[in-house]
Amino acid sequence: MLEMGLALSGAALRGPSWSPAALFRGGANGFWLDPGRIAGVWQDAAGTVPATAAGQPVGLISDLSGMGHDFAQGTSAARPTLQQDAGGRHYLQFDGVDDWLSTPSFAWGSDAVTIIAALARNQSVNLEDLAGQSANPPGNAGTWVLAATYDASSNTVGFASRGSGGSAPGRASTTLPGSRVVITGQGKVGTDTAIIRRNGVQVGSSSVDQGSGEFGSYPIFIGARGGTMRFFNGALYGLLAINRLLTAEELILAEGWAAARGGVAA
Amino acid sequence: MRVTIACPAHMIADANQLALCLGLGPDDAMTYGQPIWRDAEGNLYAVASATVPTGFAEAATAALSEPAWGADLEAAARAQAAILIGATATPDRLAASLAESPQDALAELGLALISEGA
Repeated sequence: MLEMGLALSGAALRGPSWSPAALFRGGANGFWLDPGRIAGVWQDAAGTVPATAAGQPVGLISDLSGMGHDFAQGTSAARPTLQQDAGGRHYLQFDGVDDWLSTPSFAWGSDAVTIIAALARNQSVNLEDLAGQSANPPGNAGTWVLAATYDASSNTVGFASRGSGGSAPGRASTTLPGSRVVITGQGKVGTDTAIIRRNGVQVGSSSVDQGSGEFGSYPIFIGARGGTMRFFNGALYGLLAINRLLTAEELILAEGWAAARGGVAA
Repeated sequence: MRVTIACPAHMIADANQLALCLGLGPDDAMTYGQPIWRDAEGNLYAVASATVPTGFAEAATAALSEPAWGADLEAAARAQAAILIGATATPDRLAASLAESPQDALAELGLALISEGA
């Protein structure tokens, strides 16, 4: 009840004109993906053949943040599929076998991240990454990761981050009742912050020493860890990540956007 | 239509040459990646799963021609000869399932993920 109430509050605050674009106007780095804006969804990795109908492969989805961090997949069989649910919402369907997308490597530019995803998970038996920096987050220094199935034995989603200067990752996880959800991960190396939020409510945190330094210069992968393992079996309705901790009001707005994208608050 | 193919670890190189011949570009040489799936006997496989256009099955069994981006036709032909639709995965063939659900396909193929740490 509380979670739904906060999501609805986000919808009320957001108003019809708010979009995640507002978060990037100050020049913050990150990305924003919305399969519902199918003008930015393409069947091929070069972005020459538009995806216009459910069932078509997605070789590229454009970053709407203005930062140019488009996600692409050159290998035909490894492309997720554009789908549409009964409510008319478009999403990317990842098959849990070999589907993933990635950006080229880029410098994250800070020691902080807020990542928000609207997703529907199909299983909780195998470990799955939804989005992460580098081929091995958080094993690689200066990385973060949002896991769709963080611990299969306890049915959790999770977030982890660590700085470039040694130490261990901060990890926060929570159980996931049902499958359709808005999950937020927040990390900041300098303050040893690692937070997980579920449907607008903080439900886990860690203050483990994350070391020092910024998140590094890496590609971002979605749908798998490094494109080789932990393949996501489920639907991605929307995803945004930004290189700072959002304010409380920004979180409400952004999580409200994600809830609307995924039909979570309906 | 969806096709899910289990490729034994020792056949990955050949199978990726076949994928080059049947695919859309040079990146299809990476269709079969890490062998992270295993059968009941512990044999390892790479798996590829994708929706394919009507006519794919005919194209996959037709005489191969070299694509514009190049391919090793001898290796591709070895892989093509090893394809068997509707079979469980074994180390001597490329077993293919036409199940619409990738997870149903994996069950038909008799494969499970190799275990990994959290």
